[in-house]
Amino acid sequence: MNRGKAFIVHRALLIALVALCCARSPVIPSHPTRVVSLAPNVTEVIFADGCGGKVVGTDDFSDYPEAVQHLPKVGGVEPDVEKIAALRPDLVLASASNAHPNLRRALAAARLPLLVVRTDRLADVAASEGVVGRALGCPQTASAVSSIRAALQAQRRTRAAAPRVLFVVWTDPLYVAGGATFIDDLFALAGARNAVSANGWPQESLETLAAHPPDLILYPNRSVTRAAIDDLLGRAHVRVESIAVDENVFARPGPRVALAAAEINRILDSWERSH
Amino acid sequence: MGTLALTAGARPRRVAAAIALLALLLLISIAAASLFGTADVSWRAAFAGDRTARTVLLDIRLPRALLAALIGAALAAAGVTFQTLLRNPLADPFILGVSGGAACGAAVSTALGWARIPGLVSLVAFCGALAATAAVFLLARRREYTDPTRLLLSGLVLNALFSAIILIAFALSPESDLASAVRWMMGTLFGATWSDVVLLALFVAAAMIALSVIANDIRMFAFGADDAKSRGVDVERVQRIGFAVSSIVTGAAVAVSGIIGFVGLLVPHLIRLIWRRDFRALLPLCALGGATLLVLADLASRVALPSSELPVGAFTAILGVPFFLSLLRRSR
Repeated sequence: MNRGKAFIVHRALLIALVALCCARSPVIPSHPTRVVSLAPNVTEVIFADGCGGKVVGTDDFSDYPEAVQHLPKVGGVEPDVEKIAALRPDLVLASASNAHPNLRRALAAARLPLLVVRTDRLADVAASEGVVGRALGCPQTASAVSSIRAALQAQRRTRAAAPRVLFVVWTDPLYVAGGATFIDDLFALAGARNAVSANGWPQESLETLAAHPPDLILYPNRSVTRAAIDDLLGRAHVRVESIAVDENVFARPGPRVALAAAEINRILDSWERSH
Repeated sequence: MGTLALTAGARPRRVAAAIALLALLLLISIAAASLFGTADVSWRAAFAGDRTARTVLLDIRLPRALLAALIGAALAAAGVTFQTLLRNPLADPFILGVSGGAACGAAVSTALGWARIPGLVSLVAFCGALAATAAVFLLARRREYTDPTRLLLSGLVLNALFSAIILIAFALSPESDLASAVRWMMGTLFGATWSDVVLLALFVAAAMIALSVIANDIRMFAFGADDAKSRGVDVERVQRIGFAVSSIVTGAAVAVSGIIGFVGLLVPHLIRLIWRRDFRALLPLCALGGATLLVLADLASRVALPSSELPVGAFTAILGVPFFLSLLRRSR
């Protein structure tokens, strides 16, 4: 490469570097008044903080509380940035677990600031209410955080013989809730043991289910049917008491996790009485 | 040279020895597949009457290993038939749109919310595979003659169309049902039952008999359809039977397990490298080789991680990709 070319390349790289440093993400305003939520659990967190009135649009899956059902919907996993921009929000909120990798860039192009909230574990729920409440300047933030902490604390149980519980996410192939998930945290809180030792949302083998059947199976009531569970248990040649739980409560690490914990406790209490 | 290569295939004793060797390998792999798994059980306990050991070994591991063998045999036999009839080394069992049709049926029925009814997606996938094959045949039909190049191109183009439909169906599917659609794309032998084994065994047996009957005619395609015609082969009829039988048996395999790649492509090439090119010998050797490969790949997918199963298609591909690339280099 001759010197002239080298000079041009050098300059171009320098300009690109300066441009990168200058092009910062849009700044989050101190007290946003119009927000769009891109995850159902984040929507529920905003309402729990008492800022529901600021929500001007949500993702397609947000359906709780009832007030959000009539709000404009902006899409699912790959939200429609034009629709979001048309709602003129001053802040967009998303969940770390299902935010599209290009979301921040797409929103930055429309000069829309983004706040990503982490809600992977049970302890993240109260923390996310704090983060969202402070960002939005919500009046009820402190009471919302303390009430979810108290509600979860009220569900803490120790059981004489901790039952082994399996949370089935999908039956063919068998996907389950493993360790280091908020379902695992809920089991620990309610005094149950997760029947799965691997972390995350692993695929479980049929022979493990057959050789070490859990005491109880819980499954989400929308994506898994009774027939699918019966088919799975038939293939493993085992009989396990299986109970459907409200998918919208159990699949969303949001303010309603306390309801999920109470539901697990109710199920475990009745299981203990019958054994 | 043609006659030399064709007559060189007629050494029955060496072929019989190779078949016996591969059959032995297959038996050993099935035995190995029944010995290893996540549950700690033994055949001794099963014979002693331990119910858990019996369930794990006889109702879970053994049908799964046998199903893997049948699917491997079906895919490899279909692969070698397509490669010989089309005279194309890159042809595989999915070339005529079978995979696209099956996956398309699975994806669309998932988008419609049918994934929650056990078995229904399998049935739609099988119908999708057959419909796709029929469509490819109709597209490739040119007066009274089926043009292999048109057949290949129609298959490729239809597969591309199916991919587009699959992407749209995925985007419209309920998020919680995506696991069912992905199951088809990845392929798995999870949940194999004896009824699956019996059903697929009937398909594979019928296909092997049909292909054996026309094996001598298919062999003549080694030097092209015109060459085969000059040797008195009813080219049109042999092609039609060969393609139809291979597509149906592939569709049946895909309906059970989803799309498992590379077995149908890899095994015929391996067998040709090691043994010979005579289709009459290739057919049983490929079926046995494909069965062995898939049993071992499935075993690896089950035991590679102590806590979780991995997709079997990944293991056939891990074996297949380097081989495929070296094949491409060689053919340059």
